[in-house]
Amino acid sequence: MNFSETDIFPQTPLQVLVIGYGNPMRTDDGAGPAVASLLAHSLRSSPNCRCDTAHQLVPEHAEELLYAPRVLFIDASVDVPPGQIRISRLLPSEPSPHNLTHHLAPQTLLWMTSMLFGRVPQAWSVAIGAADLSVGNQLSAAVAKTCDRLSSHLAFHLQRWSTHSAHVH
Amino acid sequence: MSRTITIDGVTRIEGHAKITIDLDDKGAVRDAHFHVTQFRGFEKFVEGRPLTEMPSVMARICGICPVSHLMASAKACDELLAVEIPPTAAKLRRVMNLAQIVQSHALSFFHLSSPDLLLGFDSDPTKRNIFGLMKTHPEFAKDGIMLRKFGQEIIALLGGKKIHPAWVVPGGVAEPLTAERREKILEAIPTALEIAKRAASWLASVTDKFPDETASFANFPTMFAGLVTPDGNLEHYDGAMRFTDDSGRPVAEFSDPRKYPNYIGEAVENFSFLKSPYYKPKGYPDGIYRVGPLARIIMAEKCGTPLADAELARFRARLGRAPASSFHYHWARLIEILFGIESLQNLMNDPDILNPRVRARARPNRSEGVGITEAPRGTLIHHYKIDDDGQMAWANLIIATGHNNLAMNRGVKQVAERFVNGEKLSEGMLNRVEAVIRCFDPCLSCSTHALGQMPIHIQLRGPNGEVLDELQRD
Repeated sequence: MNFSETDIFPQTPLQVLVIGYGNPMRTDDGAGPAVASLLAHSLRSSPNCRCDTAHQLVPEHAEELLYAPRVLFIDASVDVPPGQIRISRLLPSEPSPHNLTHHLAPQTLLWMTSMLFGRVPQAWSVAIGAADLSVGNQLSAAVAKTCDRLSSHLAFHLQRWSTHSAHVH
Repeated sequence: MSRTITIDGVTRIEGHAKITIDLDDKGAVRDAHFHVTQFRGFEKFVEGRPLTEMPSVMARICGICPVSHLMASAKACDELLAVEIPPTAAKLRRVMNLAQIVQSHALSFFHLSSPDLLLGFDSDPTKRNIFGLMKTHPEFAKDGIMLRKFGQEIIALLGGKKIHPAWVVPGGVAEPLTAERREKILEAIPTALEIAKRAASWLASVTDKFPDETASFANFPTMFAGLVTPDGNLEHYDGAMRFTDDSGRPVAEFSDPRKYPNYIGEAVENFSFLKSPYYKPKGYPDGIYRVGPLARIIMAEKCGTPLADAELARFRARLGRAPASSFHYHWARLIEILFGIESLQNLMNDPDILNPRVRARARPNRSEGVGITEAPRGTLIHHYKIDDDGQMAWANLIIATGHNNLAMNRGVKQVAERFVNGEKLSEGMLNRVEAVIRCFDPCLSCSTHALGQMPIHIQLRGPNGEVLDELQRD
């Protein structure tokens, strides 16, 4: 499969792409970037796995998803009890015309990749329950502990994934 | 019976604003205003901070054009240090500034404004957005994403990240460019140029299809202002600031940035937090002028790169040297994208671009400094005063969008007079009133950006505040 869609800064093909997103200046909203950073360190010797951080998802991410058959979106959530984790499979979903604001959901991003590039990776949401979303640049104690545990757990599985090939559908 | 229509908030722009349209007894438009409803306080809260922090702090003004604030702030700090930065540092700053202009113009044209042009101003508002384009014109939408990526990746290659890079510093830049990164940028340029050429050709082919919008989208004579090269050509980083009349003929010019208060006054209206700069010799509000891509290409004798100059020639052959309609900001934006990509290519091929000498170091040597640069939306001015310890004592910022405030307000009134029917509101009318603002691509919140439409509420009210008609878009 040709992963290089265009000649504008094509990326190296991967087995796994991790995108941890959120605002690190809003305490636990920074949980996604924190876990992605921990994973980047743990998986620094795994060239098939890349861990990115982002303030928020943007349309340009639609092209990034082309380069890996498996993608993990890691984000803080107020729908999950603080300190807990919920992992769920994501499928492409056309955005509602009534929800076209600054917020771009991972399902919408998958839909964009599918619409624009004709294929889409397998994707999962890793939601971390947030305890505190006030102004602050450090995770709350409970969420920091969860992030440490989660990153260790994910690093083990991602290490395996990064050596087993999968295909973009 | 007089009435007021309120559009709150305006969609597909950067930031939060509302529009009010006042109708007279017969339902005709009496007046209209563009209100910027958010408040920034950067000038005050930087007081007491060391000047070395200014570029990084000021970049936080904006998430779309942080590089512009980095540039203007660093240039003001260069003045405070009283240093001449190394030539390679100036070239590298130009590279980052041009990359940002390309990505920001791509966002404005492809993501925010092209849905109106491709799908129609009266088309279904639930589909008239970037996601609608992805279904009907996926190749066009993809071009927009890739061109924006082009600019963003260059910024990241230079500064380490796409948004708020800390690489531009007082005295130059923090690190030189590596040969490997230069090659990556050069490899991306041909495809970016093809996208830009494709978009410009398409827009040139459809410009005549919008006669009503061209005639009424802020279509009136004003002065123009912006930077020019010593030869009078297109300039975005340095050079003299020029004011021209409505035909593009120069009327004033200054090279010393500290002289800007001789030419620019700043009025404040009680309906907006956005200041209204004006050309001081003509007074307020007669000193109305426009900045940004349309003003820049009207003022410039030429761009200075082959493809951009060819497109500028096509623009002038069709519209004349100084078209008055702000509808043509879109075409001007695409000419500047071409210029930006070609200029990036030239800079990358400059042997001096890899020179490791990229920073001059000094202690503060002046108490006052002004930096002027061209942001995607127009001329950006940072003016600082520091105390004996090098700490900020005072700051004044004139943001690119502010220069266009008078023109945007008058433009809203003009388009409302053409399209608003006081008897019955329509969504297409509402969209055109917003679209005139989008021509200017204002950057209001400067730290967020919209993908598509935001919730909007428009009301037609009677003299006693009663709601006569109402539209809601969630």
